[in-house]
Amino acid sequence: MTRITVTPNPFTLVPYDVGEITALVEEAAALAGLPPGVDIDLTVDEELFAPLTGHMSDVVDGRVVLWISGGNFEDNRRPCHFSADQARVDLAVMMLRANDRLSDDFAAAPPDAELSRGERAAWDTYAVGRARALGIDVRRPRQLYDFRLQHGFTDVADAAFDRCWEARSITWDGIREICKETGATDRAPSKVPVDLLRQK
Amino acid sequence: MKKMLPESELARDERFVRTKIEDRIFDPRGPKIAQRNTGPARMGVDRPAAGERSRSLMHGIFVGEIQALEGAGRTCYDFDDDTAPFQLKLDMARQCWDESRHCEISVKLGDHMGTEIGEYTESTFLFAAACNPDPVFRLCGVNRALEGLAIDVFSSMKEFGNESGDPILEFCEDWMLADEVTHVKMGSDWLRRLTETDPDRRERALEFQRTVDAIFNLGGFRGEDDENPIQLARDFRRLAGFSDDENDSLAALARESTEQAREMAAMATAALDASAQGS
Amino acid sequence: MTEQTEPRAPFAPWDRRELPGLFSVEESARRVGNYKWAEMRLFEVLGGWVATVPELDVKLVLGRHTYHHAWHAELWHKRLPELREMNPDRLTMPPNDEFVTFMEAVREPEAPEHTIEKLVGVYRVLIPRFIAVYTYHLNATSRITDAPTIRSLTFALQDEFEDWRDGEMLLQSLIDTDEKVDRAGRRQAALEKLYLASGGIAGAGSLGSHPAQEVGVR
Repeated sequence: MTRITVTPNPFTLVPYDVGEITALVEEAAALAGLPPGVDIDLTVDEELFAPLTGHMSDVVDGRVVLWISGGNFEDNRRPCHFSADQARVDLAVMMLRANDRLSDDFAAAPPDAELSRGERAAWDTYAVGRARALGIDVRRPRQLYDFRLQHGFTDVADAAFDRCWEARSITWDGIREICKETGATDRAPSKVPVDLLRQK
Repeated sequence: MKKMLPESELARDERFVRTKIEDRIFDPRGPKIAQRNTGPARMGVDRPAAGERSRSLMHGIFVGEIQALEGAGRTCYDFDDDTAPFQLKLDMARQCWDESRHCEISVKLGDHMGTEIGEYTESTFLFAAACNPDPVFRLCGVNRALEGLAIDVFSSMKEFGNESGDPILEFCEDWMLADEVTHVKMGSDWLRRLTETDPDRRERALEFQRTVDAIFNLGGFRGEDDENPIQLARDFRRLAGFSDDENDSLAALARESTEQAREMAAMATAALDASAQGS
Repeated sequence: MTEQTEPRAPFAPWDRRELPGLFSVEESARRVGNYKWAEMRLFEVLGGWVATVPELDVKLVLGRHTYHHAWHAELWHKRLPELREMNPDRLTMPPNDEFVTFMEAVREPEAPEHTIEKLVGVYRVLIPRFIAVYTYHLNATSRITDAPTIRSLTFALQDEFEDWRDGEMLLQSLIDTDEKVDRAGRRQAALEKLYLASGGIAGAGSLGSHPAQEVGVR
């Protein structure tokens, strides 16, 4: 049986409900096809608000370890209010990536904190595209813009985006190939750690 | 139709949700974030949440342009021919056209970035700054302070477009920047002409401009450091007619605001911690 | 000895412009002053309405049209001194009090739910009248002596036609119930009666048929 842990419990800065979040995590795990019996730890950084958004999905000792900014769950039109719709999208993407990590196809993938921004953008696109296919209401232009920021505003990058978006099966090597193709691999390493927001 | 429309009566469709600036100021998370390293606030592709930051700013620009259009339009209507010369109203009408065009550009850029109209909240303090009953004060508040801010914002976005390799963003921001330089010059020219024989009125108008400038420096939104999301665009400001003294003054004001924001955050955090220990 | 150039007529065979026109300098100036006053009142209210209409597309169109009519006012402002009116403000006036009443009625709607009333006043009543009075002036005045006015009328008419089309399309998209059809109809009828009482943008004889206006040049 899957054990789901949400931190903090309870929330003290924003009126998010741990029970509601737990149910959404369970829903996302089922949608992503996460094997039963894999425990899930979700940390919500309730200090962060939009636009300081972001999320990370890792597998540590067989457990799915997730981190997300509280801003991702926040209703942009009603500050400090929880948005189940927004949470559903991000949790689905996180679970799909976690499930990828559990598979052999992504066995060689480093932890999220060590991914380059290009690799992360490509992997996210692959996950968001699958979320859409599973019936989650996502916005393609939004994901395209995020992809282009890391891979360039070029025809090559757009073609790579389309492949990631439509793909139902990519491997970690495939992600790296895409980054080589678009030139994301050639970008200078970022001076700002990709997991800066997670660091306290 | 009455003159001097209050900001509470700005007409919007149901997509737009209004917030007050106090909601952000009194958000209990604010002091916490201020004490953390969330990376440079200056826009860049390798900064945390680059896409989300630029989308949020773009939407802010969009609603700002709507208010700028509304402000220019009201200036055409609110003053009779004795209070505001015909030529001034012609310039305001021209500004209506420009701001309308900026709204259109912002909508298209929002589409380009994956934003939807009304996705983020709207604060109407920009229009509030344009509600002054004295046309000279309005010109200083809008055409010098707010359009000056627009120069800084568009310059920052243009740089971001350049850095991210986004030809559309860079192209559009550059065109809008050209218009804003014109608007500031209009404001500076009319300030000079309308207060030629009334230096006291000019000084009071410039004081109002400084007040508006200070509002938009709030929390370190604008400055010359990496922790300011919007960078002071000195070269474009110079082109628009701001003197080096004015730009230096604004930079000093911005630094002061950033420091004040830090101090307030530290105080608020201390207060929150003391309260938590007490309970 | 240099070759002699064969003389040519000063007017090419296809240039059929004639000298006479219906308007004297003073009459043209009077009308231009009326046009300027009306365009000013129009651009002011279009600008003022931007903040009061909730419909985003209407907001942006009004913003653009504000400038068009302001520019027309500026064209007329510049034309007046050329028509021997060195103080343009003197002739910048409505033709009569009834026209003031009409314009006040056009400018009166304010509430956010009155977008239809605002647009009907401008795009189904006032702007078609601008098109009519400008067209009459264009056709009636001397194509040779009053050419600068004709040039400005041509530019202004291009905007008037396009603005009229923009506004009419907005109205057609907004009027989507019988109740709104009735509202638009009532508003239009009320304003047209006020306009009728004024005689027009240039007062009585706005569209001609006034014997005193006919001044031929012999």
